[in-house]
Amino acid sequence: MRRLVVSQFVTADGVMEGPGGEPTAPRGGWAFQFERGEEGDDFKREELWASDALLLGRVTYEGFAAAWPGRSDEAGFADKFNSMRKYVVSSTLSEPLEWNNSHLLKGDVAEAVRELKQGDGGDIIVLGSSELAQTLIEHGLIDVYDLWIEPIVLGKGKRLFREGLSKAGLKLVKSEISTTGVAMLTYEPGPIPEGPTV
Amino acid sequence: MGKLIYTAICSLDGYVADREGNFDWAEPDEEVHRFVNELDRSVGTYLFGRRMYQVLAVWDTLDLSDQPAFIRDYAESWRGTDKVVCSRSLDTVSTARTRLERDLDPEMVRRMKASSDLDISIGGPNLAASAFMAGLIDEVHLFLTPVIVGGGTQALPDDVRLGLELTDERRFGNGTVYLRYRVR
Repeated sequence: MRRLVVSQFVTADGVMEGPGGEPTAPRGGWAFQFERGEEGDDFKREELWASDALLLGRVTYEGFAAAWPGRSDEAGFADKFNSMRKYVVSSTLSEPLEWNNSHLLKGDVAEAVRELKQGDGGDIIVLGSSELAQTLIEHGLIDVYDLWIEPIVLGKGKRLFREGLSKAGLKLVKSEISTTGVAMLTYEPGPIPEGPTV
Repeated sequence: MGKLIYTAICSLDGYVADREGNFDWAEPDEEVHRFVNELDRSVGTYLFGRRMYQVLAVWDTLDLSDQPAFIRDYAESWRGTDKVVCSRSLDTVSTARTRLERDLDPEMVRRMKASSDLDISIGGPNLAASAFMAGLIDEVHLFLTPVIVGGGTQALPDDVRLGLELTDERRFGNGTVYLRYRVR
Protein backbone atom coordinates (compact mmCIF):
# COMPACT_ATOMS: atom_id res chain seq x y z
CA MET A 1 0.00 0.00 0.00
CA ARG A 2 1.32 3.40 -0.91
CA ARG A 3 1.05 6.22 1.57
CA LEU A 4 -0.87 9.39 0.79
CA VAL A 5 0.97 12.37 2.23
CA VAL A 6 -0.55 15.82 2.55
CA SER A 7 2.23 18.38 2.81
CA GLN A 8 1.23 21.94 3.55
CA PHE A 9 2.40 25.32 4.68
CA VAL A 10 -0.14 26.55 7.20
CA THR A 11 -0.28 29.71 9.27
CA ALA A 12 -0.55 29.53 13.05
CA ASP A 13 -4.31 29.98 12.58
CA GLY A 14 -4.53 27.15 10.08
CA VAL A 15 -4.77 29.03 6.80
CA MET A 16 -3.25 27.24 3.81
CA GLU A 17 -4.30 29.51 0.98
CA GLY A 18 -1.76 31.41 -1.03
CA PRO A 19 1.59 30.60 0.54
CA GLY A 20 3.35 31.14 -2.75
CA GLY A 21 1.65 34.37 -3.74
CA GLU A 22 -1.10 32.83 -5.83
CA PRO A 23 -3.12 35.64 -7.41
CA THR A 24 -6.45 34.33 -6.09
CA ALA A 25 -5.40 34.29 -2.47
CA PRO A 26 -6.47 37.34 -0.44
CA ARG A 27 -3.25 37.58 1.52
CA GLY A 28 -0.95 35.47 -0.59
CA GLY A 29 2.77 35.10 -0.70
CA TRP A 30 3.42 34.61 2.98
CA ALA A 31 5.32 31.32 3.18
CA PHE A 32 8.41 32.06 1.21
CA GLN A 33 9.42 35.07 3.24
CA PHE A 34 10.43 32.54 5.85
CA GLU A 35 13.71 30.89 5.07
CA ARG A 36 13.55 27.27 5.95
CA GLY A 37 17.13 26.67 7.01
CA GLU A 38 19.02 23.44 6.81
CA GLU A 39 16.41 21.51 8.80
CA GLY A 40 13.79 22.64 6.36
CA ASP A 41 15.85 21.60 3.35
CA ASP A 42 16.47 18.19 4.91
CA PHE A 43 12.79 17.76 5.71
CA LYS A 44 11.67 18.62 2.20
CA ARG A 45 14.33 16.46 0.61
CA GLU A 46 13.41 13.43 2.70
CA GLU A 47 9.73 13.95 2.00
CA LEU A 48 10.13 14.37 -1.74
CA TRP A 49 12.59 11.53 -2.24
CA ALA A 50 10.30 9.09 -0.42
CA SER A 51 7.63 9.84 -2.99
CA ASP A 52 7.24 9.03 -6.66
CA ALA A 53 4.02 10.83 -7.47
CA LEU A 54 2.32 14.18 -6.94
CA LEU A 55 -1.46 14.42 -6.64
CA LEU A 56 -2.73 17.92 -7.38
CA GLY A 57 -5.86 19.92 -7.92
CA ARG A 58 -6.13 22.05 -11.04
CA VAL A 59 -5.12 25.42 -9.65
CA THR A 60 -2.02 24.11 -7.91
CA TYR A 61 -1.16 21.99 -10.93
CA GLU A 62 -1.36 24.94 -13.29
CA GLY A 63 0.83 27.02 -11.00
CA PHE A 64 3.45 24.29 -10.78
CA ALA A 65 3.26 23.51 -14.50
CA ALA A 66 4.04 27.16 -15.21
CA ALA A 67 6.85 27.41 -12.67
CA TRP A 68 8.88 24.20 -12.69
CA PRO A 69 9.69 23.22 -16.29
CA GLY A 70 13.06 24.57 -17.35
CA ARG A 71 14.11 25.21 -13.77
CA SER A 72 17.15 23.65 -12.25
CA ASP A 73 18.59 23.67 -8.76
CA GLU A 74 21.59 22.13 -7.04
CA ALA A 75 19.57 19.98 -4.69
CA GLY A 76 17.67 18.47 -7.61
CA PHE A 77 14.16 19.45 -6.54
CA ALA A 78 13.28 20.82 -9.97
CA ASP A 79 14.45 17.68 -11.77
CA LYS A 80 12.47 15.55 -9.35
CA PHE A 81 9.30 17.62 -9.79
CA ASN A 82 9.66 17.68 -13.53
CA SER A 83 10.32 13.98 -13.98
CA MET A 84 8.05 12.39 -11.39
CA ARG A 85 4.52 11.24 -12.17
CA LYS A 86 1.83 13.86 -11.65
CA TYR A 87 -1.85 13.00 -11.15
CA VAL A 88 -4.24 15.87 -11.65
CA VAL A 89 -7.82 16.04 -10.43
CA SER A 90 -9.79 18.31 -12.74
CA SER A 91 -13.10 18.29 -14.55
CA THR A 92 -12.03 21.02 -16.97
CA LEU A 93 -8.52 20.12 -18.08
CA SER A 94 -8.08 17.53 -20.81
CA GLU A 95 -5.21 15.38 -21.92
CA PRO A 96 -2.57 15.67 -23.15
CA LEU A 97 -1.39 17.85 -20.26
CA GLU A 98 1.49 20.20 -20.90
CA TRP A 99 3.76 19.31 -17.97
CA ASN A 100 5.92 16.22 -18.40
CA ASN A 101 4.51 12.93 -17.04
CA SER A 102 1.13 14.42 -16.05
CA HIS A 103 -2.04 12.35 -16.08
CA LEU A 104 -5.65 13.19 -15.38
CA LEU A 105 -7.22 11.18 -12.61
CA LYS A 106 -10.61 10.20 -13.92
CA GLY A 107 -13.85 9.30 -12.22
CA ASP A 108 -14.70 9.45 -8.56
CA VAL A 109 -11.73 10.99 -6.75
CA ALA A 110 -11.91 8.88 -3.60
CA GLU A 111 -12.18 5.66 -5.62
CA ALA A 112 -9.37 6.64 -7.94
CA VAL A 113 -7.10 7.55 -5.05
CA ARG A 114 -7.93 4.33 -3.23
CA GLU A 115 -6.86 2.44 -6.36
CA LEU A 116 -3.65 4.44 -6.62
CA LYS A 117 -2.79 3.56 -3.05
CA GLN A 118 -3.29 -0.14 -3.74
CA GLY A 119 -0.43 -0.20 -6.19
CA ASP A 120 3.24 -0.54 -5.38
CA GLY A 121 5.44 2.46 -5.18
CA GLY A 122 6.57 5.38 -3.11
CA ASP A 123 4.51 8.00 -1.34
CA ILE A 124 1.95 10.07 -3.19
CA ILE A 125 2.22 13.70 -2.14
CA VAL A 126 -0.52 16.30 -2.17
CA LEU A 127 0.77 19.87 -2.19
CA GLY A 128 -1.55 22.87 -2.04
CA SER A 129 -4.79 21.74 -3.71
CA SER A 130 -7.14 22.88 -0.96
CA GLU A 131 -10.36 21.44 -2.42
CA LEU A 132 -8.74 18.11 -3.20
CA ALA A 133 -7.07 17.98 0.23
CA GLN A 134 -10.45 18.59 1.84
CA THR A 135 -12.04 15.71 -0.08
CA LEU A 136 -9.19 13.37 0.85
CA ILE A 137 -9.39 14.36 4.52
CA GLU A 138 -13.17 13.87 4.55
CA HIS A 139 -12.77 10.38 3.10
CA GLY A 140 -10.12 9.45 5.63
CA LEU A 141 -7.58 8.71 2.90
CA ILE A 142 -4.63 10.60 4.32
CA ASP A 143 -1.83 8.53 5.85
CA VAL A 144 0.56 11.34 6.74
CA TYR A 145 0.17 15.06 7.40
CA ASP A 146 3.39 17.03 7.00
CA LEU A 147 2.51 20.47 8.31
CA TRP A 148 4.78 23.49 8.37
CA ILE A 149 3.35 25.93 10.88
CA GLU A 150 4.60 29.34 9.88
CA PRO A 151 5.00 32.20 12.36
CA ILE A 152 2.14 34.29 11.04
CA VAL A 153 -1.59 34.72 11.66
CA LEU A 154 -3.57 35.66 8.56
CA GLY A 155 -7.14 35.59 9.87
CA LYS A 156 -8.47 35.10 6.37
CA GLY A 157 -8.30 32.46 3.68
CA LYS A 158 -9.03 28.81 3.13
CA ARG A 159 -8.09 26.63 6.01
CA LEU A 160 -6.51 23.20 5.65
CA PHE A 161 -9.01 21.68 8.05
CA ARG A 162 -12.39 23.17 7.26
CA GLU A 163 -15.49 23.28 9.35
CA GLY A 164 -17.64 20.19 9.16
CA LEU A 165 -14.93 17.56 9.41
CA SER A 166 -15.68 14.62 11.65
CA LYS A 167 -13.73 14.44 14.85
CA ALA A 168 -10.47 12.61 14.31
CA GLY A 169 -7.48 11.82 16.45
CA LEU A 170 -3.91 12.21 15.31
CA LYS A 171 -0.57 11.00 16.47
CA LEU A 172 2.45 13.29 16.38
CA VAL A 173 5.18 11.11 14.89
CA LYS A 174 7.87 13.65 14.12
CA SER A 175 8.53 17.24 14.98
CA GLU A 176 11.28 19.66 14.27
CA ILE A 177 11.63 23.37 14.68
CA SER A 178 13.67 25.25 12.13
CA THR A 179 16.03 28.01 13.22
CA THR A 180 13.63 30.34 11.44
CA GLY A 181 10.73 29.54 13.76
CA VAL A 182 8.80 27.14 11.56
CA ALA A 183 7.30 24.17 13.38
CA MET A 184 7.55 21.18 11.03
CA LEU A 185 5.11 18.67 12.44
CA THR A 186 4.31 15.22 11.06
CA TYR A 187 1.07 13.52 12.09
CA GLU A 188 -0.57 10.21 11.28
CA PRO A 189 -4.15 9.19 12.06
CA GLY A 190 -4.50 8.05 15.65
CA PRO A 191 -7.00 7.54 18.47
CA ILE A 192 -9.22 10.42 19.60
CA PRO A 193 -7.85 11.77 22.86
CA GLU A 194 -10.37 11.37 25.66
CA GLY A 195 -8.77 13.63 28.17
CA PRO A 196 -7.06 12.39 31.31
CA THR A 197 -9.19 10.87 34.02
CA VAL A 198 -7.81 12.86 36.90
CA MET B 1 6.73 46.15 32.06
CA GLY B 2 4.31 43.26 32.04
CA LYS B 3 3.36 41.58 28.81
CA LEU B 4 -0.17 40.70 27.76
CA ILE B 5 -0.17 37.02 26.89
CA TYR B 6 -2.91 35.07 25.16
CA THR B 7 -2.71 31.34 25.83
CA ALA B 8 -4.93 28.78 24.17
CA ILE B 9 -5.08 25.02 24.29
CA CYS B 10 -6.64 24.11 20.97
CA SER B 11 -7.23 21.34 18.47
CA LEU B 12 -4.94 21.12 15.45
CA ASP B 13 -7.72 22.75 13.41
CA GLY B 14 -7.69 25.69 15.77
CA TYR B 15 -10.65 25.32 18.14
CA VAL B 16 -10.60 25.72 21.92
CA ALA B 17 -14.00 24.04 22.25
CA ASP B 18 -15.91 21.88 19.81
CA ARG B 19 -19.42 22.44 18.45
CA GLU B 20 -20.94 20.85 21.52
CA GLY B 21 -18.95 23.19 23.74
CA ASN B 22 -16.75 20.37 25.00
CA PHE B 23 -13.03 20.53 25.44
CA ASP B 24 -12.26 17.33 27.31
CA TRP B 25 -10.04 16.40 24.35
CA ALA B 26 -7.93 19.48 25.16
CA GLU B 27 -7.57 18.79 28.86
CA PRO B 28 -3.88 18.81 29.76
CA ASP B 29 -2.35 15.67 31.20
CA GLU B 30 0.08 15.85 34.11
CA GLU B 31 3.11 16.64 31.94
CA VAL B 32 1.37 19.51 30.13
CA HIS B 33 -0.28 20.75 33.31
CA ARG B 34 3.04 20.97 35.15
CA PHE B 35 4.42 22.98 32.29
CA VAL B 36 1.43 25.33 32.38
CA ASN B 37 1.90 25.70 36.14
CA GLU B 38 5.50 26.77 35.50
CA LEU B 39 4.45 29.34 32.91
CA ASP B 40 1.86 30.73 35.30
CA ARG B 41 4.56 31.70 37.78
CA SER B 42 5.29 34.77 35.72
CA VAL B 43 1.62 35.83 35.58
CA GLY B 44 0.48 38.51 38.02
CA THR B 45 -3.05 39.05 36.76
CA TYR B 46 -5.65 37.09 34.85
CA LEU B 47 -7.92 38.98 32.49
CA PHE B 48 -11.04 36.91 31.75
CA GLY B 49 -14.06 37.19 29.56
CA ARG B 50 -17.32 35.94 31.03
CA ARG B 51 -17.30 32.42 29.63
CA MET B 52 -13.67 31.71 30.49
CA TYR B 53 -14.27 33.04 33.99
CA GLN B 54 -17.31 30.83 34.45
CA VAL B 55 -15.32 27.78 33.36
CA LEU B 56 -12.36 28.54 35.64
CA ALA B 57 -14.21 29.89 38.71
CA VAL B 58 -14.43 26.34 40.06
CA TRP B 59 -10.72 26.52 40.91
CA ASP B 60 -11.55 28.93 43.71
CA THR B 61 -13.53 26.39 45.69
CA LEU B 62 -12.39 23.01 44.38
CA ASP B 63 -11.82 20.49 47.15
CA LEU B 64 -8.12 19.75 46.89
CA SER B 65 -7.86 17.02 49.49
CA ASP B 66 -7.88 14.16 46.97
CA GLN B 67 -6.13 15.93 44.14
CA PRO B 68 -2.61 15.18 42.92
CA ALA B 69 0.17 17.70 43.53
CA PHE B 70 0.11 19.24 40.07
CA ILE B 71 -3.61 20.07 40.45
CA ARG B 72 -3.10 21.49 43.94
CA ASP B 73 -0.22 23.62 42.65
CA TYR B 74 -2.37 25.05 39.89
CA ALA B 75 -5.26 25.76 42.27
CA GLU B 76 -3.03 27.50 44.78
CA SER B 77 -1.47 29.59 42.07
CA TRP B 78 -4.90 30.46 40.62
CA ARG B 79 -6.24 31.46 44.01
CA GLY B 80 -3.22 33.63 44.70
CA THR B 81 -3.45 35.58 41.45
CA ASP B 82 -5.50 38.74 40.91
CA LYS B 83 -8.33 38.43 38.44
CA VAL B 84 -10.17 41.00 36.34
CA VAL B 85 -13.35 39.90 34.62
CA CYS B 86 -14.58 41.96 31.65
CA SER B 87 -18.30 41.46 31.20
CA ARG B 88 -21.41 43.51 30.61
CA SER B 89 -23.77 40.69 31.47
CA LEU B 90 -22.39 39.64 34.84
CA ASP B 91 -23.60 41.64 37.85
CA THR B 92 -21.21 40.19 40.36
CA VAL B 93 -18.21 37.91 40.61
CA SER B 94 -18.05 35.12 43.15
CA THR B 95 -14.35 34.39 43.46
CA ALA B 96 -11.79 36.04 45.72
CA ARG B 97 -9.26 38.61 44.46
CA THR B 98 -11.54 39.32 41.54
CA ARG B 99 -12.79 42.61 40.20
CA LEU B 100 -15.43 43.17 37.55
CA GLU B 101 -15.08 45.62 34.68
CA ARG B 102 -17.71 46.42 32.07
CA ASP B 103 -15.36 46.58 29.09
CA LEU B 104 -11.84 45.82 28.01
CA ASP B 105 -10.42 49.31 28.17
CA PRO B 106 -7.10 49.64 26.30
CA GLU B 107 -5.97 52.37 28.69
CA MET B 108 -6.64 50.09 31.65
CA VAL B 109 -4.60 47.36 30.02
CA ARG B 110 -1.73 49.73 29.27
CA ARG B 111 -1.73 50.90 32.88
CA MET B 112 -1.72 47.29 34.07
CA LYS B 113 1.29 46.50 31.88
CA ALA B 114 3.17 49.58 33.02
CA SER B 115 2.58 49.04 36.72
CA SER B 116 3.58 45.38 36.83
CA ASP B 117 6.76 43.39 36.40
CA LEU B 118 4.65 40.28 36.09
CA ASP B 119 2.70 39.39 32.97
CA ILE B 120 -1.03 39.55 32.36
CA SER B 121 -2.74 36.48 30.96
CA ILE B 122 -5.86 37.01 28.86
CA GLY B 123 -8.50 34.43 27.95
CA GLY B 124 -10.73 33.19 26.32
CA PRO B 125 -10.75 33.85 22.61
CA ASN B 126 -13.73 36.20 22.59
CA LEU B 127 -12.12 38.71 24.97
CA ALA B 128 -8.75 38.15 23.33
CA ALA B 129 -10.24 39.12 19.97
CA SER B 130 -10.92 42.62 21.32
CA ALA B 131 -7.39 42.79 22.66
CA PHE B 132 -5.96 41.66 19.31
CA MET B 133 -8.00 44.31 17.48
CA ALA B 134 -6.63 46.97 19.83
CA GLY B 135 -3.08 45.75 19.26
CA LEU B 136 -2.62 44.98 22.93
CA ILE B 137 -1.41 41.38 22.85
CA ASP B 138 2.34 40.89 23.12
CA GLU B 139 2.60 37.12 23.08
CA VAL B 140 0.58 34.18 21.80
CA HIS B 141 1.09 30.77 23.39
CA LEU B 142 -0.52 27.89 21.55
CA PHE B 143 -0.83 24.35 22.81
CA LEU B 144 -1.78 22.30 19.73
CA THR B 145 -3.43 19.03 20.66
CA PRO B 146 -3.37 16.11 18.19
CA VAL B 147 -7.05 16.13 17.30
CA ILE B 148 -9.34 17.55 14.60
CA VAL B 149 -12.74 18.58 15.92
CA GLY B 150 -14.32 20.13 12.83
CA GLY B 151 -15.82 23.26 14.34
CA GLY B 152 -16.58 25.16 17.51
CA THR B 153 -14.98 28.15 19.17
CA GLN B 154 -11.94 29.41 17.26
CA ALA B 155 -8.74 30.00 19.19
CA LEU B 156 -7.73 32.92 16.99
CA PRO B 157 -10.11 35.52 15.54
CA ASP B 158 -10.87 36.12 11.88
CA ASP B 159 -9.60 39.31 10.33
CA VAL B 160 -6.62 39.72 12.59
CA ARG B 161 -3.25 39.65 10.89
CA LEU B 162 -0.11 39.17 12.97
CA GLY B 163 3.57 38.73 12.25
CA LEU B 164 5.01 36.37 14.82
CA GLU B 165 8.39 35.26 16.09
CA LEU B 166 8.75 31.81 17.62
CA THR B 167 10.60 32.20 20.89
CA ASP B 168 10.09 28.83 22.56
CA GLU B 169 8.61 25.43 21.87
CA ARG B 170 8.05 22.16 23.67
CA ARG B 171 6.77 18.78 22.55
CA PHE B 172 4.94 16.57 25.01
CA GLY B 173 4.51 12.82 25.32
CA ASN B 174 0.80 13.00 24.56
CA GLY B 175 1.49 14.64 21.19
CA THR B 176 0.72 18.19 22.31
CA VAL B 177 3.00 20.82 20.80
CA TYR B 178 3.60 24.13 22.56
CA LEU B 179 4.50 27.10 20.41
CA ARG B 180 5.36 30.39 22.04
CA TYR B 181 5.25 33.45 19.81
CA ARG B 182 6.11 37.06 20.29
CA VAL B 183 3.85 39.40 18.32
CA ARG B 184 5.98 41.58 16.07
